[in-house]
Amino acid sequence: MKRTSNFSHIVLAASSIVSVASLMVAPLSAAALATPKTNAATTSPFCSTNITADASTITSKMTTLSGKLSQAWSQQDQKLTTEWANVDQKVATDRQNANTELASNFTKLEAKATTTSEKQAVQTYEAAVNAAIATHRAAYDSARQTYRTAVQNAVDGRQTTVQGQLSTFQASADSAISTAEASCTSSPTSGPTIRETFVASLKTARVTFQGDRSGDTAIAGQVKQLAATRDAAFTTADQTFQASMASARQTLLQAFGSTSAKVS
Amino acid sequence: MTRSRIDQQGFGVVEALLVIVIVGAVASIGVYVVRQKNHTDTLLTKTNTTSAASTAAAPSAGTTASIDQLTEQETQTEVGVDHSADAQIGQDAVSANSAATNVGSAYNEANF
Repeated sequence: MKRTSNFSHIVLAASSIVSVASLMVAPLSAAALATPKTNAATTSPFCSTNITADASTITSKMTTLSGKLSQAWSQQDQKLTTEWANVDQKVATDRQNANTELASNFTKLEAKATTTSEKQAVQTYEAAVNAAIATHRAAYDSARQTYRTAVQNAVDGRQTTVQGQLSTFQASADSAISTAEASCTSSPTSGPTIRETFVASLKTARVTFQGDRSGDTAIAGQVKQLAATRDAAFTTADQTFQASMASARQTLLQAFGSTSAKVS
Repeated sequence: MTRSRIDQQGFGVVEALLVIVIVGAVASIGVYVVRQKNHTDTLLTKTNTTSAASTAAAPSAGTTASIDQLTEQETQTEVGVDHSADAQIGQDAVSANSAATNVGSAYNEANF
């Protein structure tokens, strides 16, 4: 009976000690657990996670799209080069065919010359025609090259302009991101306000870039105008050519005199 | 008495229809003949025009006219080549515009 009583006293004392200890530890544990919970409540979701995800999305997307733009410019230059090569090829073929036909005509024309003076007149005529054709072709080539250079300059100029606009756009977006990140670091509880500023900055950057796109179509009108200038040069070359041909023809017919009908 | 009465009827319905049919047939034949003649005349006119044009378009080789025509064809072909390329070059000059426009849709700030 006495042993039982002593044992009860021991258990009671131990329980008391444990209870007292628990009462002392409990506030400390509660405080330790409460600290992170208080921080999560004060730091806004925008600053804790959203800004990081948004920045990643913006940077990634802009990198991808600006890369596609660079690729489009490269393809644009390639298309122009290819198109002009096609023109050169067709013009060369046309001129080669004309040369063949002309040589055939000259041979038949020479056969019609019977006297020395007629033969000399045919030679003079042929030389004049060849010179007129060479001058005409050179004028066409020059006008064509001037047109191409001007078109390429216009395209290059446009690419440079857009590249500048793109750089400004990217810099503005980067600035909006870095500003928001800095604000979140210094004031993590001001998420909503920081977000508003962030969104407004991004909108301004985007709207400015999109507004600049209205100038993209202007190059179409420039190219048309350049083609018209080239065509005017063609017309001038045609007039000079026709005058030269008429003069050569007149000289030939005069040399043939009464028999000019056979060569006219 | 009855037969005499029939004889007095003279130009009957049958005769009238017969006359109408004959007149119609003659008129139809007339219209057909006139149309055929007009058609033949038109064909002849076209043939003559084409023939004349062909003759004018192909002067004898070894003449100044032939050489003039040759150089004129060369010029027209060259100009045609340039003009055909102009449309494509005009498209090429603006072919990157859509890519530039797409950059502007890199993000929608309303989603942030």
